[in-house]
Amino acid sequence: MPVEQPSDIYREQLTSLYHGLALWDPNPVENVFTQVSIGDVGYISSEGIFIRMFNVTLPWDDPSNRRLAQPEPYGHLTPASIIRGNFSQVDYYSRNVSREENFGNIHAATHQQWVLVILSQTLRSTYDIFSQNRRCHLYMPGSRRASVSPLRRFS
Amino acid sequence: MFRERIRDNVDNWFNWSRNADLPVDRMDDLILVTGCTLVTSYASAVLDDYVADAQISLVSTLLKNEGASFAWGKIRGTIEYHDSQLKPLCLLRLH
Repeated sequence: MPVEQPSDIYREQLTSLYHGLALWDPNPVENVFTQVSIGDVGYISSEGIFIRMFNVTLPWDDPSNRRLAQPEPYGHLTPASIIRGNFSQVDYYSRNVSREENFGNIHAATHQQWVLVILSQTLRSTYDIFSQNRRCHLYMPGSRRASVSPLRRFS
Repeated sequence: MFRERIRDNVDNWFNWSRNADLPVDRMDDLILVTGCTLVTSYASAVLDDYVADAQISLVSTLLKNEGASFAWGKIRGTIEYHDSQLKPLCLLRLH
């Protein structure tokens, strides 16, 4: 049986939550771009890093579009509107996950595959995660989201 | 707008990436970003084995610079994990 990379497991498990592709390593590539942006065209490396080739909301000859190679001329897009939103302090769980509060600790456990996404801004949090099957866990203390179309809710 | 753009250009983008020697094997590997979530810090863990009773513990503490510190512990089983290591990933700024 081929060994799957953590980045593949991570993307496979979290993408089913319908918030787009989950990046195992979300750090921007130094000297190429500062953050993922709407209009970026690129691919995901085997390490789970998004590699930006160019951005179609910028002019084709924008200096930032020439970091990997010079793109062919194109007319740049101007999105009519961008929907922006903030995450509130909330925990998201995929199915088959349960949680128990235990004196400030958060304990999630299940006997099946699961994914846990926690979005909270408490000053200090402790998570104890127990497993008996493949799963992944993403913790984001604070986040914002932007999209050119309405976001689908968690299923 | 974005849908038409990728439909009309994905062939060119794929050929362009091949010519640039980028590791894009299939046209389906190309992504046009139409939405994104930005975070100040993160911690992620993946259990990549089917070992019973795997376990990992994460303690997070928010910092004044909008980042967070993380301490992993109680690790049992084959678990890959990492975090943003004190430094804020990016400011909460969208464009």
